[in-house]
Amino acid sequence: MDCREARRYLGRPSGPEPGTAHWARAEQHAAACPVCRAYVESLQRIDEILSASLCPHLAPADFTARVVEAVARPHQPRTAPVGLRPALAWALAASAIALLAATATQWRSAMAPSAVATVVAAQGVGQVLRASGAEAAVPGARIEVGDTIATQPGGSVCLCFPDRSCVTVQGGTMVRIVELPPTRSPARLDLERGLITGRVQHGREMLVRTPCATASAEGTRFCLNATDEQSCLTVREGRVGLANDHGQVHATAMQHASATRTAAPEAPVSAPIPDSGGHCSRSF
Amino acid sequence: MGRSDADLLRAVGAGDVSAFSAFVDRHKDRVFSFAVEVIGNRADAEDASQETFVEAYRFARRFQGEGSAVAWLLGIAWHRCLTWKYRWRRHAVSLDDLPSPEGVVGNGTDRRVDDEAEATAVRLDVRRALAKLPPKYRVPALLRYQQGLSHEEIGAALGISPATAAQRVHRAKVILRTALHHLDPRAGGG
Repeated sequence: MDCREARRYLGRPSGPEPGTAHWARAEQHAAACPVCRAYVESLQRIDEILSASLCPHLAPADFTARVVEAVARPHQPRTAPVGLRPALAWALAASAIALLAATATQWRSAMAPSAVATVVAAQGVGQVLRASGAEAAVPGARIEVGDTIATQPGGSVCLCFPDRSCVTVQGGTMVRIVELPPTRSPARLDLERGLITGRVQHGREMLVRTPCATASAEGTRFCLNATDEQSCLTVREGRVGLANDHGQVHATAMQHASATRTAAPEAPVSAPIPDSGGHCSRSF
Repeated sequence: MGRSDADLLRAVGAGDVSAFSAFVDRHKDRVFSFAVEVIGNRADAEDASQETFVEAYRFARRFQGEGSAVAWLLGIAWHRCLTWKYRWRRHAVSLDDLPSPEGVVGNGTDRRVDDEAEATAVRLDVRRALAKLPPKYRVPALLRYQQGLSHEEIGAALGISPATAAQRVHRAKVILRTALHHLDPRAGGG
């Protein structure tokens, strides 16, 4: 056994069969080889350094109280239940809005709106759904945090954010505005279904959560298509991350990546991207 | 001696908030430490830790009492951190909150201060090297060396086999050996 082969086993916890013989031979080799002995010792030294260097961080003093308070609050799911048919989802959304409108009017009047986005272009049927009711998404309409943009097939709505980043909501899409700069650095959107294209200003960040993964775009142009089962990302400029609980990938210009609920996003692949006025087509 | 983790979680599953408070008190520093190292900043680590315990509260009934409650809790923490880190932040680990070696500067005459400066510099080097590891290796290494988990517990927390956990810890060590060779005069780069 030479040094290279011995190092495959040295310092590694030996399992039961079938590798035991290899470990024994590696140790025999190390006993006679000062270089490999030094290698083992250096791994042991790394053990000591790691154990000594990773000191605990103390949680804030009021941490327990905050957590207990948090569990006392009712849990509210942030996305629509999986498998809702579009028609049913629309009906439920309309009912919920009607119900909320009655109770939320007074509350809303007391709340000062934070940053707003503006509809700069629209075609076809697009609506802004908010607690006070639904209204047409027409150029000049103000979009606030918590509003949902819903477009019918064939329609589109283009939003401009305070940091001059833009998002075009394509037809058959439902996207909720979770956060807008400058309240917090990245703009955050929940793309429940459908297709959006985005242009994020240089130095600014946009995070788009879909049912299957979250895309993080910084200073780039991208498009993202979401269904309950899959999220597809195409990057036109810059670099966009696509991550879910199973892993993360980064796609760069002219690359395409996708993710499902049950698996890590697939490695990006290069693909020709049609240039249709800066927007991606729905079929990737 | 207080109640075991399994007892506490059983009570939490039955809706006992005081048991939950005791469970959080017992493990908050452990979870927070892990989250700080994974996410890289204290503010997000606080949020992720809080979400971890909220999720532990909601799913306490699922803990069967077999295996380690700490591994179960850190498994939740890992998924919360992953979500936080990848959902709202960039991939890179920020080292802003880590102590800077410039914070404790030796003057060459005070041995205690020089030792402290040296130790701080080593800690920072280790954390920088760890932060550069792929999560696949970084997280098992953290669970092993920061949390003191066995390979079986690491496997349970991450949903991998103990043998795979052991391999990843070992691989992390091999990579760190090269990255930290300057800390050990016996170690070479190769």
